[in-house]
Amino acid sequence: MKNRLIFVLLATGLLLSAGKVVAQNKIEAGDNKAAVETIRQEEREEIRQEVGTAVETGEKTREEAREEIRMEERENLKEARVESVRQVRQTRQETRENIERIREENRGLIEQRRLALKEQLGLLQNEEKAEIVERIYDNLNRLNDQIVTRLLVKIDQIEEVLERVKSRTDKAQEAGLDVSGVREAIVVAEEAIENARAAAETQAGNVYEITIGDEASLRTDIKPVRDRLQSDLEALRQKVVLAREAVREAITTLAQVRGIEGLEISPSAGKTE
Amino acid sequence: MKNKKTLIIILVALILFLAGGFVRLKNQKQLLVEEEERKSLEQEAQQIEATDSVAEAEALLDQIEIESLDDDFEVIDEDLNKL
Repeated sequence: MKNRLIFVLLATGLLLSAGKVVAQNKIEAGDNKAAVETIRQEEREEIRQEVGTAVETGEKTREEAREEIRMEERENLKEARVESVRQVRQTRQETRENIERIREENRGLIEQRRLALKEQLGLLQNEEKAEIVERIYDNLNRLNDQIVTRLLVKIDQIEEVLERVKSRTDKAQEAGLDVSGVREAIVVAEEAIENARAAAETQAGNVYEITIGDEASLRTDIKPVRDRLQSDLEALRQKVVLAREAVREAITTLAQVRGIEGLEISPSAGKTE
Repeated sequence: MKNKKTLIIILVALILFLAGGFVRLKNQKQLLVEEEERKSLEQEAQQIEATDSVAEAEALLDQIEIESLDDDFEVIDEDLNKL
């Protein structure tokens, strides 16, 4: 009886400690995400309090207080930039995943249509022509994938330039310059980039099917499919060109902001935490 | 019989204890991944900040060439001409 009681007590002790660890972990997991933000908030609060104290007690000069505020603003700018980069990365990742999923879904369909085409090609007497038609079918769908991927890379590059424009605009705003025109141009550029990405996703979902009649009309059967692919890809390409030109417009507008060239680069630029 | 029951209780407690340890380890790993991501984001943000002049943005944009698609269709066109 005594032994049993000891064992039960031991087991209860273990159970309680396990429960404590799990509970502690849950609390920590929740805290971890908010931890960085909390520390920053505290730092900002401290700076504000320090600034307040300086004004009240007169211990710090007005210039020191200004410097504190400037530091806080720089910190906010840095935080905004990190958040912007995070959003850009997330959007890119989502687009890549969507396109990969669409391609995966289409693989079966492309193969199915290829088999149907092969059956039709079996009726042809000229085997060499049958091989060419099959090759064209493969090339059409491969080319679609290749060009969509290539244009997506261009969209990412264009977006990287826009990130720089946004960064410089934030600094200009911090310095008190009027950047309302640039902000408008940035919104237009962002929309153009978004449109181009959406078009790329749609284009990735297109499958190009060849249906043939008799041997004499092979070329006229296939040519419209080839032309449709080129026209679809050209439409996407034009959207990417538009996105690039929208970013160019944003740069031009930024360049016209009075005093932008004399703007000092923030000292936080080269620092690492 | 009594010993068997006690053994089961101890085993359950041990499993729970190990599960707690596993959860803790998993959380620490997740924390490390988040920290790495944060560092990488900050580096990229700093890189953007350091190269955000109008001239640099213009130069970068000029480097983005969006080539015509005509060359890409050459192979298909050659095949089409053989039909």
